[in-house]
Amino acid sequence: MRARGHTLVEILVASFLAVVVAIAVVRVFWFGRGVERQARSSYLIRQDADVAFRQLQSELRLTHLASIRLHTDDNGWGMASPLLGGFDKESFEFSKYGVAVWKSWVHFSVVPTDENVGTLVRWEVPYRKGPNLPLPPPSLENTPSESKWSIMPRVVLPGRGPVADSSGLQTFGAVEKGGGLQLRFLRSENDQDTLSAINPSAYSDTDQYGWTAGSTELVDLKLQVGEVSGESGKLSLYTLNLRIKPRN
Amino acid sequence: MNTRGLTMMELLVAMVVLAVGSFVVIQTFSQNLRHSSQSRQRMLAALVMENLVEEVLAHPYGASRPSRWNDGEVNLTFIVEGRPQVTRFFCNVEANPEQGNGSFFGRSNQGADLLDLSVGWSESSGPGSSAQERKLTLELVVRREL
Repeated sequence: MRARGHTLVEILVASFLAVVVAIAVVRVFWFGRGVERQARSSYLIRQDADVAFRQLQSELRLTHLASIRLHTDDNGWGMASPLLGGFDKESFEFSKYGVAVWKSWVHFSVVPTDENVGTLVRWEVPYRKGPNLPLPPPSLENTPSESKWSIMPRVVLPGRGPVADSSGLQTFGAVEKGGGLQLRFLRSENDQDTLSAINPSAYSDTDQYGWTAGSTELVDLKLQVGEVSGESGKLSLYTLNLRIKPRN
Repeated sequence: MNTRGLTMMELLVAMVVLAVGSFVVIQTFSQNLRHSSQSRQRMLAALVMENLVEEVLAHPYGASRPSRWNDGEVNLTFIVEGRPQVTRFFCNVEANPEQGNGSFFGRSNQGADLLDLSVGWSESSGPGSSAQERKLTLELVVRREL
């Protein structure tokens, strides 16, 4: 039996190597956790945003440009829809003139759940005017019998958005032109695109001030979804912009 | 009972094995992250292509070609764990060189045209290797409304 023990040098070298190994293992562990956290937050947010985006895109395609009216508080918009009962596509009908039969007015807005984000809600009110004109909806405040559907959580509230903190990381803060649900009318003049809150179809016949110059038939939809990780306290934010041509 | 302890050689071999193991694990995580980022880029490219199709549908037949359809840049920024990540796309809309005639952009008077739409981006394929150019393409028939 060898009973010599270890020399000081052996112990020092072994300790050094043990420390190196321990650091490497801890680093691998934290790296893995970081990757998993990033992938998960990014995936979950993206998944929710994609589903909501498809629903908004599909219903905006079914409406008429003239019927779209932005809410005055810049929290969403209202429009005529040929669908009744949520996103039930079975309810879609054409009139004998080949135009969509308007079944409801729908509003999309964000209802706050905390100081930064809220739930995207689709409100539906039965269409009470003539069947063929895509009239703008009444304001949301005057629609007592609305039904509502929650579409997705974590949509950024109006006036909120990402700002850099002292360490250079992005976090939630007050932003002048912020908000996670914005619809704008696209204009294109001299090869430059701009976004406007004025619906061109509401003014084009009486436009004396050039408010609708360069108007196109496109609307620009911005959807911004974010959350602060409960684990790391860091913000993940997903922003999508889509251009849509209302078709009916 | 073996009370001999470990020799320096045994320790070093153990270190090397552990280092190789850690390297493999890190590589796997990096690859997952890269694949996740690539999948996001491809999904976004499809979205940018959808925007392009809507723009084409709203473009008056015979009007000139907007400059944003000539390698026009679209930047999309996402924040992941506090850090912004920018993906840059390049959009092109042009008459198909073989079967198109340019009437959609006012270059001739025909009633229909065939367009090539493309969205390009750079995809990182890992540390030490250069980014790969990717392209999503679509052919679209457009007709003049009477």
